[in-house]
Amino acid sequence: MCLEELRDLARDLQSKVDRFIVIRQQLIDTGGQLDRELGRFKVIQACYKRLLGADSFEEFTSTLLESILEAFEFEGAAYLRLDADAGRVEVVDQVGFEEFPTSVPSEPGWVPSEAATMLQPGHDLLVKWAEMKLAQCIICPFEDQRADRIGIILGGLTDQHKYYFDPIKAEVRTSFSVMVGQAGALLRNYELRRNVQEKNVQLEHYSRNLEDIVARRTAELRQANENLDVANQFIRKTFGRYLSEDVVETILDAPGGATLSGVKRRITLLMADLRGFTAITDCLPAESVLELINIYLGAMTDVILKYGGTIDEFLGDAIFALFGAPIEHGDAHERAVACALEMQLAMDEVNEACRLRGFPELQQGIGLNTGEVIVGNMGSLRRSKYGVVGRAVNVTSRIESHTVGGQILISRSTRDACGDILRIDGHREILAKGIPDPLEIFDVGGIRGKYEIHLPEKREDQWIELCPVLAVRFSLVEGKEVQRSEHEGKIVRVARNVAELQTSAELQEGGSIKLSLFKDQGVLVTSSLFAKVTRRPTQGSVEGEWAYRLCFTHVPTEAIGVLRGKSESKCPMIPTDSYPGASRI
Amino acid sequence: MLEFWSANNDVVNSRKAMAACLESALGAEGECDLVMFHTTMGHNYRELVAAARERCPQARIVGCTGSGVIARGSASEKMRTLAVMAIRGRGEDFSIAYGAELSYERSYEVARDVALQLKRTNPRVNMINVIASGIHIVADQVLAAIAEVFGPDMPVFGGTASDNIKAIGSIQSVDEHLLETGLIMVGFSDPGLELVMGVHHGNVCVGEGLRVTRSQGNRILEFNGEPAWPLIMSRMNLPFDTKFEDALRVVCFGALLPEDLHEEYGNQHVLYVPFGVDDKHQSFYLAVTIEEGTMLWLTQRDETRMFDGLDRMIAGVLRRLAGRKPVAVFHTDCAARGRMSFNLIEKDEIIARMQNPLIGKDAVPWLGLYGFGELAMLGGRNRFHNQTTSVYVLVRK
Repeated sequence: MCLEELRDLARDLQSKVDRFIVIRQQLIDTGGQLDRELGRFKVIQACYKRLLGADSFEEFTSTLLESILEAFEFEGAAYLRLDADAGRVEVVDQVGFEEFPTSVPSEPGWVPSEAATMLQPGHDLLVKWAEMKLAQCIICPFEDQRADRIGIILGGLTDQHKYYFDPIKAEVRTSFSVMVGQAGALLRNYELRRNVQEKNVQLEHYSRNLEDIVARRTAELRQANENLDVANQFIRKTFGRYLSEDVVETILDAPGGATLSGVKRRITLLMADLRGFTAITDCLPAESVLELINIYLGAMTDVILKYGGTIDEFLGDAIFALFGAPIEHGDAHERAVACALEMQLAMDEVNEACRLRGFPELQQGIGLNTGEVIVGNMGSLRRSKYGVVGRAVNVTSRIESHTVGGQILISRSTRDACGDILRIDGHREILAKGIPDPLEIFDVGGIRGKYEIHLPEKREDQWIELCPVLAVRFSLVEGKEVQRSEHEGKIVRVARNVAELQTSAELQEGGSIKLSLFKDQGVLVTSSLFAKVTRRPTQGSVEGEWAYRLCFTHVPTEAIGVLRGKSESKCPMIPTDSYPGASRI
Repeated sequence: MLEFWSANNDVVNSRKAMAACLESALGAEGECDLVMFHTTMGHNYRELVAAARERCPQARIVGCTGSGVIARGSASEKMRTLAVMAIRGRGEDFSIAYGAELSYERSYEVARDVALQLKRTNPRVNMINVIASGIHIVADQVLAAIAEVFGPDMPVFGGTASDNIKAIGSIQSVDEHLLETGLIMVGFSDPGLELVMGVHHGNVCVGEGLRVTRSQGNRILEFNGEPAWPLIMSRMNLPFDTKFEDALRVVCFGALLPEDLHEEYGNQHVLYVPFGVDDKHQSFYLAVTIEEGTMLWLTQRDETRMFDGLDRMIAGVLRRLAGRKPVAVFHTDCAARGRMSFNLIEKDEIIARMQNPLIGKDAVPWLGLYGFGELAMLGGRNRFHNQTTSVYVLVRK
């Protein structure tokens, strides 16, 4: 081979090598594109994770657009959505463009039918959207699975900066479509995930704090139970003073079963009162008076509660109780009568306790009436009580006022309610203050049937004629007030706790008087002798004078001997045995 | 005393990117006096500067674009990537001067004015970092001007800004001043700092040399009596009106170095890449002055020589470091040594082979630029290079 040929061969080889440089660079560039495609795939993968972590729809779209720039290296990306009201396409968000309009005209077909569409320079849409100053772009529909957020995702290059960016090549259509399409599907998942995340946060919170919550709830429940116990104790203590245990239980266990609100109900009312207690209080120091009355009230309370009664009130030495409210016992009237009988029987124990303490013995009278009243919680927010109002209350009080010590008087209504099971020891009519018609009242000595309880049979009074008679001066007692005017009379005969007074004064049956007793020569024995007129007057032994049956309600000690001393049989003038010995009506 | 921190990210949002970089570098509360950054096209440059200003209100801010950035442990050529070096120092530890109208014709004048400005600002400058537009510079003129002002021994390091290898334009900035034909000089004057440089390339000459028979400064008009550009395109079997950005990727010339530099350089030739062609695609422009009669050869990259040369260069740097730990590393790599030459794996490897020996696992601040040209000393004199890896290691004396 000659030199010329060698030179030609060298040139040819050189040319090949030179071309090889170009080809080799093209191969490297192709490999670089594959690397970029792989990098794009990784960015798209990472994008989905970031999209799911978005805290809001705005963050979701912003993250998507930034990821598009990272993946495809467009100059900018934007999310466009139809604003139907304005008739324009709104630029919801954009990233990368230095300047970009906030909206562009809505053109037919602006949302491509295909997954991704390249808009090359001069495309109609780019012309109509000239405000964007796009030289080239790719658009893809963007909608969630509910298809109620319809728009497009756009990636593009502007005229000003296009030379700095690689042109958008057709090869990216597929990956762009996939990315935008998947993002649209993720929208719904994103919302679901947000809900799930919130629930998980709540669940985690509860799980993390479950022990604390349980402990706190347990402590709250314990406290609530303690409060409830305290309340129950209070109720028991409060009501328990006035209600029997079973009534309290009934109210607490089934509050609906006992109505504390105002209701009209037919119940039996009981009033009990100590005879002559006022006079006793004058003779005893205060603490003794209190001790004495508490002996009485304590014993009577036990009896009343035993029979399911409701103690409405203690009025000094008087007790006012209800039978049939708040709990509706079917046999309230029978209970009430039985209770009254046992209360009288219980006075033996009361007086035994009084004797041991050196206190005077007590006598009580009990009145019962059955009638319709209104019962319920009465008062104000600051002070209220379970109370009763009605005419029947007044009637009960009037009946009671006609009792003497040891006596139980009931009304016709109570008599009728109980029926033939009562032992009636007597009955009469009284005129009661404030009640226009005469009241028929019955002296009860016992009850048969379920409660079977009886007072000892009443004995005939054994009268002792007094000679000489005992002079007395007396005044009428109205309620607790002693009238000023005095009258004269004489006690002509006596029996157990009763006496016959003859006087010219007119006295009312059931009325009370306070007597000053004189013995021989007009010597004052006592001025604190109290008695109740128990019968209508009869003709006295002297013309113009009336004879009244008196039942002593209080006999001072100094008078006992005088009255007894005038008795041939030396019978006691005040009841000292187990039965108070109520006189016959 | 100057202190350095660095960070980088690929966050697309410009404000967030800069804010995140500075927070990563300085922490939540730290401040600095100088922010130097490199970024690629795509970011909103003003937003980057604004975010830096917001974070460091009192700092000077200097930056430029490139085709990629290199940071500690990573290199990225994505659009919208960012790398930052935050520098803390007293006022006299650094100074900045810049000119806005760099051009082929006025490279010397602009550089001289900037150098004089720099010297007036701080006569104690002992090393200069240069950032300039890669397609408007005649680098040897710039270096000559610096030598005139500061003397031939003043170390100059840095590189030329680029875009994403399209040679359309680039951005350089000083504070809020954005430039497209800028020349920036950052002079450091920390007396305790020493600059150790290394530079190498891995190209080999291919085929017959081409004699420059006509040139005007950095403009090559004819090779062997023929219009230069068409001849080159012909040799590449490319149409003479090939898009410059396509031609840019394959055309690289080598010029023979003096023999005494071969050993240090690891190569006999220094490389020059054309950065422009005239309207008629007849002549082209290099970033250096080429005298008529100069022989240029086409070259191509040789991966083996690139890797081996890198190892050799790093070994040389380590010898000069003599066991001292780097305080910070600046780095300029030719845009062609990124994805134009390597796939992802190879690029990771070459970065690792450069960084691991120098800094190991230490958190040494690192700021690198994939640019259009590199400035590094060779044979004790400042020189412009293309298609090299140039590292500038700051170390305490």
